[in-house]
Amino acid sequence: MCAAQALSFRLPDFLRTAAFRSALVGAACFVAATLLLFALIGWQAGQSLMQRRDSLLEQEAAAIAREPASGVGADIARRYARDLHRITFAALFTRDGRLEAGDMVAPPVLAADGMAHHTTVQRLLEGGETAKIDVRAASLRLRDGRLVVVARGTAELDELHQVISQALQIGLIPGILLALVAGTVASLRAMARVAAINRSIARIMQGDFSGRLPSSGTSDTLDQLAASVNRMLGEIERLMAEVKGVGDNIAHDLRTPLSRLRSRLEGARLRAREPPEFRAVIDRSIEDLDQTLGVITALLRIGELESGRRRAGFGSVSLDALLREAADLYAPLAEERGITMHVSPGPPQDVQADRDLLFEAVVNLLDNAVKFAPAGGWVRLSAEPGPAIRVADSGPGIAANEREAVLKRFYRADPSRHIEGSGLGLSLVVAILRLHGFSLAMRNTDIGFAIDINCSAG
Amino acid sequence: MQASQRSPDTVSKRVLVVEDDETLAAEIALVLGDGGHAVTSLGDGRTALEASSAEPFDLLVVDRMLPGLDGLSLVEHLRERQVHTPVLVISALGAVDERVRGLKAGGDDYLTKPFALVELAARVEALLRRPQDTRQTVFRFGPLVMDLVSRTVMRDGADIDLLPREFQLLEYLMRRPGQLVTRAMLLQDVWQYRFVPKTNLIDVHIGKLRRKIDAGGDTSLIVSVRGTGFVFSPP
Repeated sequence: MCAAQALSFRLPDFLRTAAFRSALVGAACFVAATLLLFALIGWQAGQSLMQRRDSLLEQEAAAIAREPASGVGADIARRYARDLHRITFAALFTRDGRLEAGDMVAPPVLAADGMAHHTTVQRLLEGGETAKIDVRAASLRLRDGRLVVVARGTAELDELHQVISQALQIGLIPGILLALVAGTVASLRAMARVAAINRSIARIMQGDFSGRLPSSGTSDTLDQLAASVNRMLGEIERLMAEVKGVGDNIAHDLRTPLSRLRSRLEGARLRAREPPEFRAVIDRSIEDLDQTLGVITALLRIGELESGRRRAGFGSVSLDALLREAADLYAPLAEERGITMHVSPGPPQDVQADRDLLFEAVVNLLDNAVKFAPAGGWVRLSAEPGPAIRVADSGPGIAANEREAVLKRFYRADPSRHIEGSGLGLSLVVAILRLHGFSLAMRNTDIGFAIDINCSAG
Repeated sequence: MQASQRSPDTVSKRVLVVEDDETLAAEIALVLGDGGHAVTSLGDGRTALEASSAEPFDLLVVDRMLPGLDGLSLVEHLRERQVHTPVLVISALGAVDERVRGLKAGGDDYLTKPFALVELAARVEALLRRPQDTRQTVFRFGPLVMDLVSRTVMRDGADIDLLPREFQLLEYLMRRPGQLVTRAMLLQDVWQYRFVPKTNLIDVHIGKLRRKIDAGGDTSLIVSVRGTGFVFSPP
């Protein structure tokens, strides 16, 4: 029910856009500024009009007062009979406040100082009626005690204000309408662009990851936003392709041992007769499964490293000790394979790292080097300036065009396909180095191949 | 609950397996039963806490993820109740931090799933037969004598020159005569590594050690157990 009510109160979409709202705010500012301007003009004009009228009233009052005492009444009658509009009027009151000439019922409340003031008077109209009128009036007391009052209605001033407010309305209404129209147009245009963007997004969400947001070509805010969203989409598309590649590789690498396993089990089911035969098959099957599980474990470890959760183990690591230990670990294996192992741990120096992880990375590289160096060859583990850790061997190395690819998960340079391993060793190294902010560089040398771990973070 | 048969030739211990995966629990019970132990299996943490507080078990194998009360809380509660039965924690959570957490909670060893049943059995044996007398400084097995104080190893009276790591390796094996020691245990306890190198490094190191201590005899003092590990077996 509530939802239905909310819907019924919903404004049309174009009224709710930011463009329309800012048009409204603009219109409101315009109205406020105009009102202020007109108020100022009205006030200024009124002031100046009033001052002029006031000085006229004061002069007239003074002029009347200068007449000989006997002629004052006649003067007033003469003066104002001419005024057809009867805007200005006057009266002469006796000392005791009785009307002697003119058309005011009673003397107004007014200082008799000859200056114009605001007040109200009861005016006698033709036919004996009276009307209460707002006036500016000046009064003077004659020498004989009589009171002269000259007044002028403020209707003129009101008229002025009326004219100004009419002008205001005539100016303001089109202004507001114009602002509303402009706001609506801007709003509709913005909505059309948002709708276009929404259509693009809908297509992308349906799986067309090559789709991009449209741009109006004006590099306005919306275009800039669309451009950065497009960059993000490009990155997502690239990652998706990579993940898909990785997914395919994982599936392939898991399927290979599993299909071997399957056919071996099936063969045993068909042909094996004696328990020792079964046992042999089961042993081989367990090996296949372990290989499969090893792949999964390695993937999980890389995932753990890549999520960057592990930073707790960081500390000062003695590089020379680490190299010596790694060399000690691999010396027997190298010896067994007829490979000479050299180690130059360099002077004592520390790097900031997670010792276990850095050691694992070095061991992984060393493992590869010992695997790939030909019998009778050599492997050299050394500290280099930087500081860097170099693992060099007399093996064939990795072709320049394959170096990028070997760092990806599951890639194995073809010549080494016969060598065991999950193909995840280098990916693991890369994940570890990335966690440290270290970098990896490899190059073929005249005498073999070298991989450097550059331990200067950044 | 199920108890397996006791075999007469070994010292039977009472082991409580707390694991909610019934297949795995059954396999663990069978392999430990084969080792001559009396195994009780429980599927949830709360029941296991009561059972292990009430009855004297020699060892607990506890899965981390359990219904009722999770494995680590179970171990923590037990330690709070001053129950110091050794605990082997098994878990699908293999991250290094998880392992550290498992040991901190009071576990004595931590094994990540999937594991080989022989690995589990070897670890159970290792926990049940923890080296008793750590003050012993001289080990003597047949022709082989190890002196921990002078850091020397002699065979038939002649000094054998060992690298420090080789000495540690041999000491670890000699402290556990007749006991299966897996590669993973050696990596973890001798090398203190948390990862498993790809190649059979351990075998190479053992091979080198063997050549030094066996002195060309027909039978080695260190016997390889196929696919699993090694047993130090004095003649």
